Amino acid sequence: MNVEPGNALLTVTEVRKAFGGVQAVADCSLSVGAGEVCGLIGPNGAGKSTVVGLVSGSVRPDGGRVWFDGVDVTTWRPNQRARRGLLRTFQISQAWPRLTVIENVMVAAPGTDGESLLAVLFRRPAMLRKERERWQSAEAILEQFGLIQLRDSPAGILSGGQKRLLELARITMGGAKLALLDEPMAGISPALRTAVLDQVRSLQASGVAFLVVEHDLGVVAELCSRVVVMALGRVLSVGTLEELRQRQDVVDAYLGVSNQ
Amino acid sequence: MSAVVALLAAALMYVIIYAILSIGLNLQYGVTGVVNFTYYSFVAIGAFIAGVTSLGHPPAGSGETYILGWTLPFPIPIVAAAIAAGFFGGLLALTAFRRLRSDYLAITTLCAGTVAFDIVNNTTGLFNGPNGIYGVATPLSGQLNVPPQNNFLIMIPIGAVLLAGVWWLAHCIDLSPYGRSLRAVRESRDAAEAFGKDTFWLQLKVMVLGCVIAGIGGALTVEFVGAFNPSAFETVETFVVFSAVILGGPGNNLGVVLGAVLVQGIIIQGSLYLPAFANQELVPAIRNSVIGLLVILVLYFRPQGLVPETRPRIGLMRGRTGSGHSSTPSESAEVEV
Amino acid sequence: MSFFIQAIGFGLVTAAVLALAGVGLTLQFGVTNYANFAYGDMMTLGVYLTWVFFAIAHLTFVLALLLALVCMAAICVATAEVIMRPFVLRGSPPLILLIVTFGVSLILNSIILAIWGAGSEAFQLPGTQPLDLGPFLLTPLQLLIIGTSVAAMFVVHLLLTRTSMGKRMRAVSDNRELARVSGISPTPVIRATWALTGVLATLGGVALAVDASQFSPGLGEGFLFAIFAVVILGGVGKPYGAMLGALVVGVVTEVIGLWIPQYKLDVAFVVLIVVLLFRPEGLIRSAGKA
Repeated sequence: MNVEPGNALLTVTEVRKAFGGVQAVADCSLSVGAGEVCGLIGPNGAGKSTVVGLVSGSVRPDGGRVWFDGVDVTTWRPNQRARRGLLRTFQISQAWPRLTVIENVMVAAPGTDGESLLAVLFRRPAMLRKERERWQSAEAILEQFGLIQLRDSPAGILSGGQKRLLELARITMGGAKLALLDEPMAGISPALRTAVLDQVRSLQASGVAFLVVEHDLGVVAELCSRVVVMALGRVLSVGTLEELRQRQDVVDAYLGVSNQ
Repeated sequence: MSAVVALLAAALMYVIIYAILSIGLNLQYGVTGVVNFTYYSFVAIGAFIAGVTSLGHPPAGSGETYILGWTLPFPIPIVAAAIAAGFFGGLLALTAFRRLRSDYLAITTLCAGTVAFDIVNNTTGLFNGPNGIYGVATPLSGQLNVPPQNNFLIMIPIGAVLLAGVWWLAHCIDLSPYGRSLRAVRESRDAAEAFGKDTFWLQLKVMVLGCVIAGIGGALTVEFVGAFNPSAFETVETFVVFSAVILGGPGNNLGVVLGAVLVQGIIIQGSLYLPAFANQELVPAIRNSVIGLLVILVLYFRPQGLVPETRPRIGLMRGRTGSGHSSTPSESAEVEV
Repeated sequence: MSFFIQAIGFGLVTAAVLALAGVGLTLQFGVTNYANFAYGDMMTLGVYLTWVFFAIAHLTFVLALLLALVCMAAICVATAEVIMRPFVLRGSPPLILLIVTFGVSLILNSIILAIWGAGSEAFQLPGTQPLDLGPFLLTPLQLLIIGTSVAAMFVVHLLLTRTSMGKRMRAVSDNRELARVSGISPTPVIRATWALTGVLATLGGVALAVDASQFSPGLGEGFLFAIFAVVILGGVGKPYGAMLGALVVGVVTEVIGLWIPQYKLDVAFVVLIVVLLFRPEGLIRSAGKA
């Protein structure tokens, strides 16, 4: 596939990663344009989770490069990538269970103002002003995500679906340019499923791009304009879901199996 | 009568020192989830440094040897103790925090503690080897003309002021974005990292801060007792501070201070007055197993401790939010987590 | 030069002790997936039990040791079942499990102090006269320690490779989820591992006490950091790695001890830090717990 680094928001070129003797990702190149929702599918063991790690920065590639927002971020740590606007959700929701719901959103605010002793002790007025702004935007976001009634509850008591919404709320607060969703529909109730879909769409409308790893092809069909198929650590094909359904190798590798 | 007062005053002083230590350890373990199994080594560093920066040179012919031998006026030895403990805390953190698993951190700190003990014990030129330092004068006792047996008259006010300062510091951190991010690191390091938090740096800073507080506690100890030797910082001492934090309520300053009162004020000070029977190890041994057992039982039946961590509903916004959402109950209410 | 070679000889003795203790600790760490800070005190308890059967009950040394091995296997399994298992079942985070083992360490140490006091004891075995063995100068007891360790390592090897329980132990240690999916129930494996850990802790403790010619309640705790260095050097959960790690740490500490005898064991800590900084997965690189 042809990728031109710098053109798209996220560009991954020929990354590979082995764990011990196992080649989890042999060769993967993909790109996500600004404001685009791109799907990443493939059978179990295709290397999707590793790609998520490689893009978010928790996994360091053995080779290949990752560009984000015009810079080479291959050697950046996850927190550095996050500060540039690359945020993610986790396969198993990672809310901070003993912080309240609104605190969960406030932690995600960009910048690290007030996170030092100096600020705590000597710059209180500035810190308080910043906190007030954070509080207000966090409340507005909770309102938007329908979580406002739970504002002061510890996040640990939320249901699976509510935790997903909270993760999306954090992404909104964090000012994501690109959000990496790792199986966003895993273990959530049908009612909240619609809510999650709606929120992703409205975030997209506001200009956030998504890379969505998902098993449920219905969700992929609804959200993604373009889909990347992986198998055995390699990118098999790229296209719309409709185009991919026509391709025999893709169907053999994945679609056929899951459509049975 | 005055003997009873002196005993009670000594008990109070120990409680104050332990309250300070508990707040420091709570910042590391309770707030950030950093397991520092050699916390008391930093108390020892503080004690030794406060000692050798105020003792002056060892008297000729005494056979004592230790470094520095300065005679700095109060409160500089306490500051020096805090800086030294914080420096070594940072050094340990720089190596230990490079690996993600909390086991490795705990293992490294424990091993560092054993080695620190060996080095202090075997190097007579450092802090006078196994005999340790002694004869440390109470600060200001000359100027105020207070006899040594009544030195609590000086030390309790100094300790109380330092405790208040440390408490206030911890309280400010609790209510700030800093405290919130530290808790996020504790709950899920990966998620904190994924939202732009430099977890290594956050943990490093809290390690240094906690050790600075340990150093202050150590300085107070040596200035109150007048002596400190390696046998005073075995692993069990660290566990005693952990027990105060765990019993009282990790993450809650009021809780850990209550824990210090319970463990130091009641269990340890109380056991000093039990008659020794069989061998002299028996009473402390029984006391320590009671502490160990209490900690295990509390971790199982009430992991949140006596006073659970509370998260501010409004936090720093108390009474200041303009949004005034209709569901806001009483503004000062706090939520139990 | 001859000093140097003699130091290597002493290094082999230290390595033999470290291998016994290290394999026990690494197996348990690998299978249960949490570090055990009570391990040093488990070693010490094993030593005191052996001493009670030997010096007080006047059994032969071998019989006393065997009895102590059985007792410690039972005590370790009981500790794991009564104290650790409830926390594991509830899914307590590793943080909590570490503190619990730290608490168990305090309790075991207090029990030892309460029963036997803080003084030093000794086995007073014969065979402390050094023999001139070519370049090495070792006592019969030290040779016995090396022999016992080699034999024990061979038995552990057979156990892990030839028996079904041993194979299951390795499977659970490598990847518990995979082992569960393949139909291996972890509970009996964990129990068997704790029993083996009790046996190896006792053997390691007695070897240490015999080598040092005396022991006190702080015996195991003071040595624990060297054992952790061995475990991490070898890679957590890798018994063969621990054997290799023991050899490295044993020889390195004794050789460097030629120059700084009073700090020789502290060299193990330097080894630990170097490994953590540069090769956290241990000497043997393979997919495992990093």
